[in-house]
Amino acid sequence: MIRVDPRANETRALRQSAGSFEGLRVLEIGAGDGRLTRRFARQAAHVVALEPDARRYQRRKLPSSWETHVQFLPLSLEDYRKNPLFAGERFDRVLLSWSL
Amino acid sequence: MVHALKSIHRLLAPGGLLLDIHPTDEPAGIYLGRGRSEQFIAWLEETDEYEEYRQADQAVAQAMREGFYRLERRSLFWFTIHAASLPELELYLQQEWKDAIIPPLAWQRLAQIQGSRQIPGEIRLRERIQLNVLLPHG
Repeated sequence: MIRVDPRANETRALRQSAGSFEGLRVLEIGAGDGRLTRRFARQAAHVVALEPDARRYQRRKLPSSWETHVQFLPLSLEDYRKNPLFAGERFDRVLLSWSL
Repeated sequence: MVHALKSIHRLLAPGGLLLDIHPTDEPAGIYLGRGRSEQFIAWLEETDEYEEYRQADQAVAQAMREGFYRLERRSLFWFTIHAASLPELELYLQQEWKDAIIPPLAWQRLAQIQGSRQIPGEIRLRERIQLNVLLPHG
């Protein structure tokens, strides 16, 4: 069985470098199947997670109870920015998640 | 890449931060792990020789030179993927990291280490990852 970052080094590095995401609006670019999203979304006030790869988007796994404050969208950053539905959105943290 | 960084700048609220996580251009190492100990097997190869990560570094540097961001902090951490076997790791990489190649040397070294005995352990892929905390300017 594959285990990815079992010691949670990535989450620890984020917390130590950027502090808590408590109450913040977060945009995650390149969210994949939600692997990292699951680690911080509980604390955040609102999360928009973008994943343009259809295969990865289909594999997303987030608790259904989070649907009120986590928006997982099959969009690239450019498509998100151009969409009038999201005009004017601003975020306290933008996370480029292995996607630069 | 620079274009994305400039786009993100417009999405940040006052006081917001950009958190950029991407691998360094150090090759990832494949290890045979048993508890806390690890034995090096081989370096993972990439079809573009990790060039995309150097380009990501250059994009961040350019965005800073152009005055969009200031580097607040850079930290490094190890990111590991653990598999029960080398075939399992290879299958995982075929799905998740299409540029990655487990070299023939890795299979040979693992066979040499294990010999005719089935030494218990797991295969670990270890990557050096950077986290850049970028403060927007302007």
